[in-house]
Amino acid sequence: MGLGYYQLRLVGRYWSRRTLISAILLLFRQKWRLSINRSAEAMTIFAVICAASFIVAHMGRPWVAYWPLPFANQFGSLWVNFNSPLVWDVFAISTYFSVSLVFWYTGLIPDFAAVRDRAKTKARKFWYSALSMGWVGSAKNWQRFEEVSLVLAGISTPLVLSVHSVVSMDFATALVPGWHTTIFPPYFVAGAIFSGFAMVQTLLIITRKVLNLEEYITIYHIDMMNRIILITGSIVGCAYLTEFFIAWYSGVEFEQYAFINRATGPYWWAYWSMMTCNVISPQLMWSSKLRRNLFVTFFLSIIVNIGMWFERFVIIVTSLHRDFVPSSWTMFHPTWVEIGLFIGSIGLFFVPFLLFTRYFPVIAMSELKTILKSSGSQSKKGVQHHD
Amino acid sequence: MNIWDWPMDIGGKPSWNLYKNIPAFIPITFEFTVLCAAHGMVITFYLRSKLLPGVTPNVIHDRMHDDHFVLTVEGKVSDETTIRESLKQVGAVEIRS
Repeated sequence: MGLGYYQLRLVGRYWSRRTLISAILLLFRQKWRLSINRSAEAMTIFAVICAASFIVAHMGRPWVAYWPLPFANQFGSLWVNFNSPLVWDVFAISTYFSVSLVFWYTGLIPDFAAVRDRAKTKARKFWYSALSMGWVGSAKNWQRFEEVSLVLAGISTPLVLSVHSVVSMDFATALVPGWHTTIFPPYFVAGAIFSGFAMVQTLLIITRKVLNLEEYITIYHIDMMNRIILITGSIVGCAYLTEFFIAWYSGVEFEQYAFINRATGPYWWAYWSMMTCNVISPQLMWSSKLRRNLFVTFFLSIIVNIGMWFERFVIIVTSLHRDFVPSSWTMFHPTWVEIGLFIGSIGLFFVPFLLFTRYFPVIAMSELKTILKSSGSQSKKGVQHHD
Repeated sequence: MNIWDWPMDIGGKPSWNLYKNIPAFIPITFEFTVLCAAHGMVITFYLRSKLLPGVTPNVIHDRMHDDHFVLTVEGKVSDETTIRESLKQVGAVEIRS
């Protein structure tokens, strides 16, 4: 079914929203970012790989996946349509992926060098030497490194905002009621931060336990992330209500039908699951006791992940199952292929993530040392300072 | 090329002239600028700092990436004692020559 096509594509999208966290926090000089940025960036990269694999799989003819690129061709006057957000998306996602990758890798180089210098076995020494590319950490190297990191963070922040905006325009420029909404770009950006932090919470709560990183990723960090989840969750909730208001205020009956059908039609359960998971449950985070409780945080981050999945489901399936043409009205039933692809994407995400936690420095060591200095001078004065 | 050969009016957004079409080119212009800027900068950084896979690093001290700072001082052999003295004065943990 056509519905299935879109459904899957967007399940892929579900994975693709993480990074901005570390870049924005670097830009705002938030010191608490240092414990989480490395793994957040890794999640981004692996998630984008999942998302890209979905897009390629849904092109129908994956062996001509390069056709959206404007290359010199033999097709006569045929050329990619630069008016289409799908073409913008090709540029946005590929830029996003490759820039995130170099941002992440450049940050990893000094840490690889530190691991290399402490490596005991020959194989480890060989691999970490190759990965650290001959880094020696001279003052000149560090100065350049700092400058490159800052500028990269500066240009990747608007990049991330633009990527999520472009993704939302894939919908917003369509005419289907429920998609044709100008609020989509900011709403998708807030949603990306929201689900991004939820995923970081889910994975880091486990990682810090397994790798004994409780002293580096502290309750304070979890508290801060929960605050952001609360804020962005409320922004997303506000966007949901705004959509409703605009549907009514526009006076377009198709829009009005789409939104009333969304909340009370055959897919009411998906809509209300989304509302409960994304808007109502994060409100628990107003309580500082719950924000600092690991079990509550973990449980809630899973709820938010489920909620964001339902958001995709609501946008895509409920909008398409009542299209302009009544003959195409139908219900969505996932096939075993679709379910299999979804489960496969989870594997495609977790295998590289687990390899990353096994072999790569999970915490940006060299960056974390820059804040140790200040706490070091404090401890000399006899002041014990944590967080 | 597309504007010329395949003029389209989609959803009331005509594409018959370049000036009407300019907004559609902005996202790609932006993305491509970021792509070139980021990669150009990182490649320059790698080359300038001589960072390439296979480069043998000149590791002066095992703990220089761990918890120590290393300062190398170039000088004549005759100055060695003065340099040693002054380094010791400012609190050097270990001095090698």
